[in-house]
Amino acid sequence: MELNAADSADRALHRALREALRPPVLPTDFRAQLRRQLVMQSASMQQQVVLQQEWQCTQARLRAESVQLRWQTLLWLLGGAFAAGAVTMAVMPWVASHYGARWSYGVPVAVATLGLVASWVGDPRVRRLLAQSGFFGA
Amino acid sequence: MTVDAHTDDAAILALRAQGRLDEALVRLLDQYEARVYRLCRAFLRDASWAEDVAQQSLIRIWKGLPGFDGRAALSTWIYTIVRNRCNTALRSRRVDSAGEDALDACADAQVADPSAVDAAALLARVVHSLPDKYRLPVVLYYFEEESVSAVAERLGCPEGTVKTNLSRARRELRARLNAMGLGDWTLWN
Repeated sequence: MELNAADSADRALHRALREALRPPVLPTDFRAQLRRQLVMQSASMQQQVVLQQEWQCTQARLRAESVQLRWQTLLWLLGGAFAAGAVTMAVMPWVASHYGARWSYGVPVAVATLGLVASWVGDPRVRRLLAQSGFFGA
Repeated sequence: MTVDAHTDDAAILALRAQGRLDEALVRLLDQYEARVYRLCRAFLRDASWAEDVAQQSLIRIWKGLPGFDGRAALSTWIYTIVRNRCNTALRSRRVDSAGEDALDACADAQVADPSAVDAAALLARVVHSLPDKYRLPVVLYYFEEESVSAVAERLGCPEGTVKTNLSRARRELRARLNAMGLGDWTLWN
């Protein structure tokens, strides 16, 4: 008798649980929403790939330009140095004969000083400092 | 897992490998979306939360499919991902305990008029108050057309364990219902 009561209690609980825990139905727009998300993620991934490629291209171009600029600068410096030497060789005898031997030292020193000051003033850090200190005016 | 399910899984993988993505996705969703959603519902209880996590899981599954190495069955791999996602979601957000508090209060005070209570809703709440070890097999058992093998597959544990936990869960449920003054089973019929 007790066994029967337990059985009927089990059956009743089973029925009640079947009623209470009905399988949930998938929301109607579940798949559409999932597809939208997949498309969005795929698009954003493609965009990311494109952006990454663009960034790599830009980096490669900048690196190539930087190397080219360094070569140009080196060649300019070499050319400038040889040209300055040639000018000095040509002009110094003329300066010494017209103004005396003292000027053959004075002119190169003056030109060198001018060059140094010009490069110093041309340095962006120095220009920034001078601008901050009000040297160039407000 | 049936032979048909194996064939479907193989077809999904083959279509994906052949680059027929749309067909593969449709097959995958036909086969698994409802199951994944039900598993998420069992774990997380909340419908919209379960929907979100199910979507995230399916996206993760779809993206990870090319890397699936076939060491386990596809379904095992899928349900493992879903369980992990659910557990991560549960860890990151504490389950709203308001419902459980109300239930505890109800259990403490005993139900004054059981006939006035929505029996199914109340029973669902009592089930949801069980520890996960018992709650998940019970919920999934009824979500998955009362199939122990399906529950075992979803939870990644042996069928024997599921049967034991189902039996203990029912015993625990009866004890809790008795404690709430709802032990009279004529009320449930």
